[in-house]
Amino acid sequence: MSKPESLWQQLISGAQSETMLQAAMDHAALNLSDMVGQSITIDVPGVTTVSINDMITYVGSPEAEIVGIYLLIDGELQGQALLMFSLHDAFYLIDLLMGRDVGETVELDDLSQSALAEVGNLMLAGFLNTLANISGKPLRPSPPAVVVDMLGAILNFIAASVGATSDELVFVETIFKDTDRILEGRFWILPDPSVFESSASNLFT
Amino acid sequence: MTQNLRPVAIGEIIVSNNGDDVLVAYGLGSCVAVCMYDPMLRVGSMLHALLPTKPSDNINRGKPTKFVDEGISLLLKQMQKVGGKQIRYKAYLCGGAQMLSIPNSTDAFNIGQRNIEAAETMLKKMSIVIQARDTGGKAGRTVKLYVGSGQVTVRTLGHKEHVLA
Repeated sequence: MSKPESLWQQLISGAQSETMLQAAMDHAALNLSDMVGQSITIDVPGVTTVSINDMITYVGSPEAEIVGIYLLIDGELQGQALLMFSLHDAFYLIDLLMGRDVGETVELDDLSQSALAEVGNLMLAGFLNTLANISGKPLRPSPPAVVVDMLGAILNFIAASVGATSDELVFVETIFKDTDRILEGRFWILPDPSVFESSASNLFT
Repeated sequence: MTQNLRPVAIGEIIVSNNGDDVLVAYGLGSCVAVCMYDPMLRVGSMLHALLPTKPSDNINRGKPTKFVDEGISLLLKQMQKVGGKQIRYKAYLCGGAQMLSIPNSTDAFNIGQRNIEAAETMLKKMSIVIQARDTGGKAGRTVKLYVGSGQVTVRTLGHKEHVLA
């Protein structure tokens, strides 16, 4: 008798993978949409595999100034989540969140950083709540960390967590936009490397 | 002067004796760049490593050059192949920032510091002195080694490229 699939297996390679990802990311986008008072659309979420070498250029220029909102996931879906915005788009998002005029935000002060942390919280919570409802298992996000730096430097951390066991990075990804297509963000959810060890070694076969 | 930018990706080593080459590791966070220069031959090399030490088991974990210790040892071998002499080497160490601090997190988040220590240990073991360094902190860096001159520069976000050595 085969073992029941883990939640990560279901999400990445299971028969219902597409439906689950779409529902979970829709929920994440809806939470953002409620926060900014604008409709947020998402690209069809997918599972992406890139080599650690290519992961940075996959997203953009390694020196591009990026705002990253990073969270850990505990429970049945152990892993990491990263929201990425260009600095310009992060400013625009803060304008929306704070009810400011567009262009008013020109720096990331503590208040702006907390606002962005809250975006990370709510988007990941949306994603996880959907999956917790499907699986009946508790899924917990950590407090978010907001970091502004070169894209390469931000992604280093994720590369390091995966690199100990593999040269390849597997993640769930979507790109979300507001209706005016001014705001564009990237949302990654990554399984903990331990997911690919032991019983889950045949995840992609 | 023509400049030939040669990006060194994570887990890569580039050795060059072309005076127009500029070896560059873009956006180092917790990663470290180890630069080695033989001023007599004008040969420069750069390693861009991700993790401190290669586990001693035989499990395949991908490219050995993504580990600082194994990477340095392979970098030295490649330098030697083109005639480099260890006694002349000038070594530079950059990177190893701590990009994120998460409440209740483990020391896995100190990967930058562990990378720096791994490089220090390995270089000391090989009796190579670190001539100059720009390590630690919380900000990402771009590091360049100009093969023609042996000059090393570092740039952080919002700052101009500055000469390290």
